[in-house]
Amino acid sequence: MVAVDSVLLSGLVLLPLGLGGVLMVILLHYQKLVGKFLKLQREDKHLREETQKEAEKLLEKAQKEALETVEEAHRRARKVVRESEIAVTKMEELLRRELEKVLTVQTKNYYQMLEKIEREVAQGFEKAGEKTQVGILEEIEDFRKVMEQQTIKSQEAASEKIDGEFAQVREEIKAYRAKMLGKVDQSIFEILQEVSQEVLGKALSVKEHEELVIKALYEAKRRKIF
Amino acid sequence: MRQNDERYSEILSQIRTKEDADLLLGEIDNLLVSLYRVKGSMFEEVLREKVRVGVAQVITGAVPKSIPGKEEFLRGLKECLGELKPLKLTLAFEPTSQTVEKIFSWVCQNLDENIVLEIDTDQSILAGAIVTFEGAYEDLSLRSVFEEKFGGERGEAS
Repeated sequence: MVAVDSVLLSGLVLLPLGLGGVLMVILLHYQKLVGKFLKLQREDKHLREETQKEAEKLLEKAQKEALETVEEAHRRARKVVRESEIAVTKMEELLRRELEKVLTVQTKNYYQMLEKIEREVAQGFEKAGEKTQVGILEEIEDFRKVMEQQTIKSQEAASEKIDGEFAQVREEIKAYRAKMLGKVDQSIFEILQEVSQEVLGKALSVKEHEELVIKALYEAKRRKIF
Repeated sequence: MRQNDERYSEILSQIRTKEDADLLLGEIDNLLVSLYRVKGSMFEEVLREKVRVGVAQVITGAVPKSIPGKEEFLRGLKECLGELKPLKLTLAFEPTSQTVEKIFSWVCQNLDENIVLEIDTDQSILAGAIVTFEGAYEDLSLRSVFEEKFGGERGEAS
């Protein structure tokens, strides 16, 4: 009976001790787990912040690049327009000079022809008799007048024709210039549109799109469309 | 700001877009056709089977019991729907129902008209909107800003 009691007694003493030990082990594990959980939480937070910063940097970079592209396109457009202006002015100047050359050469030819005729007639006159000299002189004078008139008429006709052609070429240059400027505009606008579409499509959130739509509605109201 | 017949205010408050209005018109037509069918219960059957639950509940609560009364109610509702003025908006993105709600809320707060939204999309406008209302047209998109800017630059250079 005494032996049983002592066994029971020692059991009663050892059992709480054992349970206490187990509880200690569980507590230690729990503490470790909590520590790990907090560490993971910190790492996760840190990672999120890093990702957010990275995303912001990327967005900022994309916007900056888009702006630079737009500015570059703008600069190029201005340059092309300036260059086309200079080219057109040069072409006009060249054309004017060529036409003046043609006119000068033609006039010179007429006068040379007239002088040649005069010389030939003078030679004939020396050979002719005294009696016919007066008549021949009159005829020469008439002929000279006719030639002079014809020369003037021809000069005028040539000048008119050249002016007409000059005006026509000028119109053609003008049309060509407008066409080329249109092409430059169109290509720049297309590039700009593609770049903007790509960049804005990625950078603008639905919320920002909505805000721009609401702004457009306010503007429409201000312009009294409603 | 919608000021319709009080009887229809609850149904009309559910209409935001032209699609909503067209859908409701179809349902009203179905109900009108059912009124004079031989079977007496046709109206209730159509209301149950061919009309959306929310709309059916409102109509059930508001419609008179007699057939002529019902017809007058439905024709009045059709008339109110026909009076809604379409505000056409071209957007650069496909709007969510929340976006439609925001736009409609702006319309209700800022315009004294019975308006229904008619929205379509065109990505090439980039952002903003093209607004068309009662024959008036305003391109308030980002694309138009670019076009204007380049047109201006060309004008300066020519």
